[in-house]
Parts: sequence; C-alpha cells; structure tokens
Amino acid sequence: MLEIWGSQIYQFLQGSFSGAYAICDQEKNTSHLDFRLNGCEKIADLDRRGVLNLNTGELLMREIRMQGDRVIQNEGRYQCRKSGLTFNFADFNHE
Amino acid sequence: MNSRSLSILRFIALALCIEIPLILSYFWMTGDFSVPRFNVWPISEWLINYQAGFIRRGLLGEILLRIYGPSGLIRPLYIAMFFSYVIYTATFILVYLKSGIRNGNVLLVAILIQGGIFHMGMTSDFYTRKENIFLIFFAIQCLLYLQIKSAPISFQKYWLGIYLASLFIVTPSLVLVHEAYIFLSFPISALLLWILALERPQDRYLRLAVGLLFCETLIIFLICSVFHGDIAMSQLIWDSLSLTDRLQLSPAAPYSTFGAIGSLGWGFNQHLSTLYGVVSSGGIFIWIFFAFGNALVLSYIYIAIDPPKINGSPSQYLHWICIGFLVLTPMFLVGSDWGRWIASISNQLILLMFVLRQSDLFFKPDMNPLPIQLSLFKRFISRTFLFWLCVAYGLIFKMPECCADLRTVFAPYMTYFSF
Repeated sequence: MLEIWGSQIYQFLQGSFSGAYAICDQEKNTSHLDFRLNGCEKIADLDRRGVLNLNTGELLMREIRMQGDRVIQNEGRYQCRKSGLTFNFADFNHE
Repeated sequence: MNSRSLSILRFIALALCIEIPLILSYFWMTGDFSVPRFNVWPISEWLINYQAGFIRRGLLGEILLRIYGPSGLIRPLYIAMFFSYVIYTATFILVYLKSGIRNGNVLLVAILIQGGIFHMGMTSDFYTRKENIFLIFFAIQCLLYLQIKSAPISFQKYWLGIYLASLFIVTPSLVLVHEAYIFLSFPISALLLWILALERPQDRYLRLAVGLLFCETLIIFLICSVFHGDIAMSQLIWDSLSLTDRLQLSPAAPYSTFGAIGSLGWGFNQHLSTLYGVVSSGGIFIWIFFAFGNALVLSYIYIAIDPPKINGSPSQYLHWICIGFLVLTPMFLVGSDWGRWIASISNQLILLMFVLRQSDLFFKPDMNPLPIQLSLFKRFISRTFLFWLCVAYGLIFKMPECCADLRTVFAPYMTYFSF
C-alpha cells in the first residue's frame, strides 16, 4: 500500500521496501510518480526507488546496494489500484 | 444441577481452557511445519540485534544471536515463545491462587477474555509479542507484592528487597527489549509500587523509589529514542542474520531489510500514518467492539470479587483499578496495534484486580468515590447472565492483534480441523 502525504509516500504493508519515500520530479512528470528513499539525491551504498505509472497502475520497485565488492539488486513489479482515502486490510490479505 | 455437579463441570471447563491452548501451542511451536508459526513481522522484531551498533529493541535479538549464532535463530525463537507462554500461564494462575479469590467463574472468564490465555494458545497471537515478557514481569511483581503482604514481619524486609531489586534491574532491561515498555506496562508497575508505599507509610524510601524508578526508566527510554536507528542500520542488522532465517521471513527478497527490522528506519511521520490507518481502514469500530467486550468481562470480575462497603462508603478498590486503566491508555496514541494494547491492558488489569484483593486499600473507604458505580449496573443485569455473556464473547470471537477487518473477528475453529 502506498500512502501519499504531501511530498512523501509511505509504504508499510509489504514487509520489504517499507519506509518513507520522497516524491521526485512531481511537476515535470504527470504520467509517472517517481519516488526515492532518503530523499531524491542518490545515496552511495543504498538506492531504493519506485516508479508508479499513474495511467496503468503498474509499480516498479528497485533497490540497488553495495555489500563489500558485490552489487545486490532487488526488483519487484506490482499492479496497483487507487483506493481513495480509505482502505481495508482484507484487500491486502493482511492478517 | 446440584452444586457438586456444577463444581465438577466448572473444573473440567477450566482444565480444558488451560490445557487445550497449551497443548496446541506446544505442538505448533515445536513441530515440523513448513509455514512460519506466527506472523513474520513479530518474528523479525525478536531478531533485532546490536550488530549495527546500539539500537532500540535490540537486547533480546543480540542475546539470541550470541547463543545460537549462524545456525539460525527462528527455531529456538519458537521454543522460547512456547516457554514464555507456559511461564505467563503459570504466573497468572499463581497470582489468582495467592490472591485468595476462590471463584472458578472469575478464573474462567479471566482466561477466556479476548487476548487472554485461551486465545493466546489457540491463535499463536499476543504471547508471541514482546509484551508477553512485560506481562510475565508484572505477574512476578504481583507475586512478590502478595509475598510481602503474607510474609511474617521479620521476612517482609527481605521480600521487599527482592521486589525493589527486581524492579530496578529488570525495568531498564525491558526498555531495551522494547522502548514501548514505558507506556505499555511501566505505569502499572509504578502504580503497584506506589500502592505499596501508601500501605507502608513507615517505609518512606518506597516513595523515593517510585521517583528513582521513573527517572531510571525515562533515561533509558530517552537513550533508546536517540538511538532509534535508520535504514542503513536496519540493513546491517538484516544482513547479520543467517540466509536460512532471511529466506524463511522474506523468500522473495532475502537481501532487502524486512518487516520490523526495516521499520527501524521509519520516521515519526510514518508511525503517525499507521495511526491514521486505524481510522481510515474502519478498524476503529472493531476495536470499540472489543474494548467494550473486554470492559464487560472486567466488570463481571469486579462484581464477582464484590468489594465490601466500609461504614456505608464504597471500597477504594475500584478507584485504583480505574487509575490503573487510565495510566495505560496513552499507548493507544503511540502505536496502531490496538488489539495488542487492549489485550495487554486487560490482562494487566485482571492481575491488578487479583492482587489488590489482598491490599489494605480493599478495606478502606473511598472518600471521593468515582461516579461510575458498578452496583447500579448490577440492578439491570443478573450476575449469571453476565457470566454466560462473557463466556460466549470469549468463545465466539477472536480479537486480532492489529490490522482489523471483519474477516478476522471470529474464532477460527475450523482451521484446527484442517491439520
């Protein structure tokens, strides 16, 4: 679940990729929502970002980080729908 | 049905309500099943450690890691959970036995209450959370309090010393286990100590002890607040776990920080957004239902204990129970797992009701009685009807820990037949 509060996006129902994300380039892009963990500046060891297609609801989450001399990359694709101002935990199969 | 048959029936009901959840919990926690034995979120919370430096909630995870190391922590955690359930059940029953209340109906509804011993074992909820450690410690404090009251005068100082030592040593440790201890359980511990100080005016140091304990707890809490963690620390903690543990918790993304470990990197605003979720998900109506139901059970216990009237005035008993309730309510503004808070408050209030049965305040008149007098309630509803209402409430429903929706409010008896 993505909750948009002003210039921030919160995610916590999916155990991975939880956190507070900053929305980047909001004015330039009307078809996509681009958001990043720890602000819009790329951080050296950990870069986690999401791109939500506002027309189709497709969400791409991507995380790239360094662990020693290795690069670890995680990627997840999700299909979203807009639920408005309310939600039900049943929709997320969350118990 | 004669009274002997009723007693036998009550004994069988009590034995079943204690034994079935214990047996179920034993087989579930020690058996060989492919699925996680309880929610992966609390599992990950138990595994928070100090591998990224000092951080809130890390004490028990660090101890587990030091003992079991790379061989995986989740299986030993399951066994520890089962033993914590057994210990809580044992201490709860001991407090009841030592309180001098001899009323099987009271014990039965106290066990069947939502979030209580019966539902803990039947659903693997509540006792698998860190607040079960807090409940065990409060039950031990109640036992020590009762021991101080019943010991010969020459031994009272000895038990008082043990009680104070345990408070001053264990309380800061519990804040290191989970900083919410300061809201979730510390207030009622301090209240019990304050009541003891009122009962023993000759021991003036007990009042000082309340102040010192508060300062000690607050300092540790502030330290934990400063070292609340960030996303980089949560990733390091996650990486310190064995791959087998990470795969069990998060098979789709075992290299990304997960669950409660990931939540260490959350900010204050995000925690507040989960509180908003209590309202926006409609869960608040479910919590109001269970809060009312548990209040009904607590009312029955109060009516059955039946505090005396002293020179026409009500006993101070209800006064102190209500203070116990009030000091625990701020937790509802701190976290969104309202089912956990309702369960924790209910269990602690039941222990307080048991233990204050032996308090001097039970036999002292209340000069400023509370406007809520449950004796008025008794006029409209019979005690027998209320008892059966509490039993039905305990058996039909199942309060979720958090994230309430209407699918999850009934006891899942059919699930047991699918094993």
